[in-house]
Amino acid sequence: MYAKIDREVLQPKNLGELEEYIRTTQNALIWAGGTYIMSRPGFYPEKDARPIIYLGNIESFSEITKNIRTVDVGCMVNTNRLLDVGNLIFSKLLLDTLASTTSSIVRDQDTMGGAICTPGRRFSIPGTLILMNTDVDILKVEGKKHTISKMPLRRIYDNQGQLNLEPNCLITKLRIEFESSDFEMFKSVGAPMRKPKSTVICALRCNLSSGIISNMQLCLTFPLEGMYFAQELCNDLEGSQVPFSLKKVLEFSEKLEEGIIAKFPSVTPLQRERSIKIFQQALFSMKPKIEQN
Amino acid sequence: MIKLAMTLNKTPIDLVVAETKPLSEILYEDFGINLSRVNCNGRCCGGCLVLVESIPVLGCMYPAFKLQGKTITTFDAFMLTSHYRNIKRTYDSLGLTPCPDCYEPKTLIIESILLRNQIKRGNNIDSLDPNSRNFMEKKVLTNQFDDIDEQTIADEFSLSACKCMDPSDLLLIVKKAREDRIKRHVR
Repeated sequence: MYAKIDREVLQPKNLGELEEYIRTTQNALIWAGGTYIMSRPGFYPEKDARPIIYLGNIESFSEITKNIRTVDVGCMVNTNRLLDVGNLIFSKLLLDTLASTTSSIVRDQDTMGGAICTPGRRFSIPGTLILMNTDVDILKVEGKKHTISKMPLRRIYDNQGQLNLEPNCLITKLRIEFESSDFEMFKSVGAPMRKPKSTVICALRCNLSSGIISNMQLCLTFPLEGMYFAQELCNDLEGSQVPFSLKKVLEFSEKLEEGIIAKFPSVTPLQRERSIKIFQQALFSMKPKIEQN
Repeated sequence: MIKLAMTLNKTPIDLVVAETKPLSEILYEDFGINLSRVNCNGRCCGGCLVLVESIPVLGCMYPAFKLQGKTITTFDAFMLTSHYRNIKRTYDSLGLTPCPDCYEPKTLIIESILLRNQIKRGNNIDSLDPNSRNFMEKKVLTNQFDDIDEQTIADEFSLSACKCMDPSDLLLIVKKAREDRIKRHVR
């Protein structure tokens, strides 16, 4: 079984070369870690003749730098390396998210840039990074000009959580805040690669000063559908006193279910049920935190 | 097409292949090396694990254009190393051996856990370089192991879908193999 199509693999060594390649090639396929691209059914022998731009040789894309409020992570930093480096810096939410990404053998290959720019499917990392107020640097090549702009990660996705990045744009750097919240929870149920239709990934964080919820953020990720941020529900939860009574928990769960149905009608009943149970678990487990306070 | 110069099981090889041909397909089609599974359509089944520069990787997710100048070791060649003998000794001493279907991937996953644990990375906050503000990363292979976290080990074995062994047995094998590696100074 041999490939009949010859694909050009361009391997820029610096930003200048990269811009040149983006400018001169039409619809080139940007290759970061390649785990998603190579895991598609029928990837080889391929029918796609688009040239490939491989980012692995650009040194600045593999750098990690710590600033006062953020850790700047190049788009080609692999998940394992970020997990190792960020062990004592990042919040538990992000560390749990990174550690939950399959096994370390795969984590060695997948990159942060690739994880947030996967077309068609959403996994655990983008949701958590959005909750952590991550900004991204976007390189945009237009004609002979190029610009690098900084914008919140959330803005590269549309309302449904699908990637909304122009073809001549490329994420070069992530600026991840490392401030922790009083309560953080990450839970992934199911197998995102093997069984995406039954998988739910939940990231949640809030502050609990004096037992009152503030800065509540919730992201439910359904791999095939997208991300659900439950903004209205979070607004309702703001200012609530914990611990919650069972009646309150059920009331909020009902709102969550209604929100999921309205936003993603194609989410399976199993995914919905799992989302609600994880959410309820989170609300109930906020109790011990108050006792500590 | 790309002209590759690489080393396969200590033999230097020149080869012309399609740029994006997966390593598992190269080994199977061009060298007749039968991995336990060649292509699982991205299910991360672990059947095509091989060592690239002594690090276990999934062959189905490793494209040809990244293989330039690399050293590839298949399971057959790994069986000749002291690291394999260490794991094999552990299987024998505990009387616990994976089934023939998952023997290769499970053994390489154990090797991956031990190797990862053996490589001490000086890349935490203490090693922050004050001048460049970049994290320094040093990889040194030592005989000092970190404490192996049981949850991490369980997560690693999620790559092998075969349920022939109990997770507690796999934990036991990893811990025993680590003890043996320390005792015998296996490097």
